[in-house]
Amino acid sequence: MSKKTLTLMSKDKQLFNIEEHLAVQSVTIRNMVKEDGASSVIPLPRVDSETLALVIEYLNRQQAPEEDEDYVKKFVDERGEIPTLLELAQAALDLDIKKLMDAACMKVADLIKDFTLEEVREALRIENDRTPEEEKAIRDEFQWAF
Amino acid sequence: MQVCVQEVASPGQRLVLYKSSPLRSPAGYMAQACNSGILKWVEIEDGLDHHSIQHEPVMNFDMDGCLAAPISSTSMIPGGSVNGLICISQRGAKLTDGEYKVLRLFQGDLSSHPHISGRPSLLDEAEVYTLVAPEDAAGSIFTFDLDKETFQLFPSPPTEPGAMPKNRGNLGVLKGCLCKLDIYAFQLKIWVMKQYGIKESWYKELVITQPICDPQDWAMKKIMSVSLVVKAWALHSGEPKFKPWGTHSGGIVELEIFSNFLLFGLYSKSICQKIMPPINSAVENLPLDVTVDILSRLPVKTIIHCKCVCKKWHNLVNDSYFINLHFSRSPSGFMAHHVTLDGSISGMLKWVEIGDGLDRHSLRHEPAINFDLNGCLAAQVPSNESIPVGSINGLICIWHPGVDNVYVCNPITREYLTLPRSQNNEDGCGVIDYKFGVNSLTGEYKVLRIFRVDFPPYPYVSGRPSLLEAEVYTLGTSQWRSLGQVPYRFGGFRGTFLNSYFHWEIYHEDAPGSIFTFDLDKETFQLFPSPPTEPGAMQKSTGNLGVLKGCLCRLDIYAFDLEIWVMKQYGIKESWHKELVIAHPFCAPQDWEMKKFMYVFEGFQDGTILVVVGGKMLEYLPEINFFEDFSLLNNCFVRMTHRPSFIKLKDIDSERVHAIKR
Repeated sequence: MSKKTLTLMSKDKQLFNIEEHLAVQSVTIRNMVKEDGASSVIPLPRVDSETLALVIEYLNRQQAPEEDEDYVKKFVDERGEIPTLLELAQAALDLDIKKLMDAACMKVADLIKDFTLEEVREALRIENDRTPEEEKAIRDEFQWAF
Repeated sequence: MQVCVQEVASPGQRLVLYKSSPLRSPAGYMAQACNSGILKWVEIEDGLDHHSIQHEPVMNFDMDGCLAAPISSTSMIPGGSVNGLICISQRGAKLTDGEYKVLRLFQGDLSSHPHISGRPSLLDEAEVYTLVAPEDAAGSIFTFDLDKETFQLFPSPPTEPGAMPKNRGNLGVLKGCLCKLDIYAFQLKIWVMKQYGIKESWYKELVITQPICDPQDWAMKKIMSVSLVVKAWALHSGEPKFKPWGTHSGGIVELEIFSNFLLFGLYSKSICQKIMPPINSAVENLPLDVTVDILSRLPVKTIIHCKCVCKKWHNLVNDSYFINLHFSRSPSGFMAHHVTLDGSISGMLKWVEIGDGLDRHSLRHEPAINFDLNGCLAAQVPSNESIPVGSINGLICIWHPGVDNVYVCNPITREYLTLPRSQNNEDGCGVIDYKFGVNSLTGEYKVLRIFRVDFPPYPYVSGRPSLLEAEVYTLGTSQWRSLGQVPYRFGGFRGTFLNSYFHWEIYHEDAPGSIFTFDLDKETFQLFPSPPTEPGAMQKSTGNLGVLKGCLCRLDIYAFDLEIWVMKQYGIKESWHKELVIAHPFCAPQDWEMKKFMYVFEGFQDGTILVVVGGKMLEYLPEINFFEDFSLLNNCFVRMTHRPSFIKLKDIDSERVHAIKR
């Protein structure tokens, strides 16, 4: 029996094939397949091709269930760059792949937990919209934590 | 061609009103009916896997005779819409300072300027882009900057080598990016400028072949950019139920809703987020869900630091969604009271975090979560007289026995509330215990107060049981409620809290080892199934309740061994199961005295069990079937499990809450 294949399309219009029984680890895809059989291309308008390639690699893993936890950890560890992890987390959120989302977010949290404020802003490209006075007010309120 | 710019007075209150919820106003389009002055509004919804385009008649606007000048409505040409204001000419808004400007283009000296072709598009800092089509540089773009009020050349898409001569090209906006629709004899190409102003970011998004069949439509395509946005939008979202719109089929289908109407632009009641250009970072557009998820996994101290990162994060971590998500992931641990060298208890509660891995557990003192009881609450009480009676959802209940004051505090949010004084047993001399718990059905936090009514017992008669009464206080209310007499006599010294119930051993010579509970929901005392008595078992000296991996358990102490019973299914008598027998645990006679106060504290996946004996913590190791001491917890008196949380007392009772000092 030949296995059914789905085609996923990234934001930049690249096509990726994946076997349906692996793709349905994504709850989003599972629901689409259930709804209309998803015979055609499934577009993922917020996922770029590099990230989608990673997601496909993850979905294609051949791990025994008891080793899965370690595999996910290692999988995100090997892609320890924050921008990549954030893209991965967003893709996992859109596709509703809980384990991958959890692992990617956990990894980012691990990476930034000892950062200074400035480093956090830089890593996540956030603009500081606080005045020094406002920051001082928070520092004073939560003196014990600084 | 000449230009004049007129500034429009601030639109005032109306705009301010809209600004308060700038993100919520839907995006949509205005379309003008072909032979009338009616503007028809069409709302657009753009979901991840689904979009919808819907006519909303409430927002229709009839231009007929609504303005001062008596002009025929059919000759009125709406020129644009910004922030919900519609103009009868080209109009833009400078978003940085909210100045509104109207640009008027009129025929002047034809030779001195490149001539304008195509429709202008408004984007970002309200610059207007228009195509220029001088013979030698067809398809170039220039802009009018509403800020500097100047015209400038602007990067245009690259010319593809060998491409056919194009018929026409028109600008538009596609998902917040400037785009250009190039029209060739047999196909359409859509170019998108992914990063505003960066020439290299022009990207060929889409090619559609033979989109239009009728010859008269070919004439129409010169002005095709107008409807580009809606159509391309539909093309792009790829909603599977609208197959003709999917990119794989590559066709364009007319929307019935727009027939006989002329689209003239994006219309939204308020500042439209969609006209913001995407910044070069996925991070910038990171969904809130991802941000919240990451923040909820950070250590408490880092989360507080993150309040300083930006205003958005500050609001995020104050939100109840975040608070609940964080608590669901908050590490488990316990509070231990620090004991000074001379043996007295200091006011410092030390927090120890528990890591429970499948094959390994860990205990780690985390000083950041330490809580110093010294002088942090209203009453000036020596710190060694503060007794933490329990911790639920990160909230700690503290009792000052001497003055009988009771507080509930959250060391993380730095809040505490003082419970009102009870009218019964006012001096507090007869109070034997307080208990703090939460009704998991209603989320109500309750404090139980148990006191002797026959205090002081004169004349003192040894063995005479005291008459006990109880009352309960629900956080957020104003008074204690009496529950009357406690129908059972306390055997064990602690009340173990689990599943909205407190559990105690009954003191009874004929029926040792019975259990009774207090139901926080119904507020009643009741008998509870206890472990079976084994035939021929030795008389046990004592038994104490505890919690082991989420199950109620009892540690039975016999002359020569210990037994641990676990109730696998809560409330089911038959599920009591003898988990463990440990032989000869103590040698020294003074230890035998201590074991009266021995109970199971926590169990780990690797089989290790934490046991507390008179405040001291021991670790039961399954591989040696025996106990080991903790050097980590030397000089500590183990009090209670505690998981840090950001739960706000202010949300429970705003009136009684004060800030913890320092």
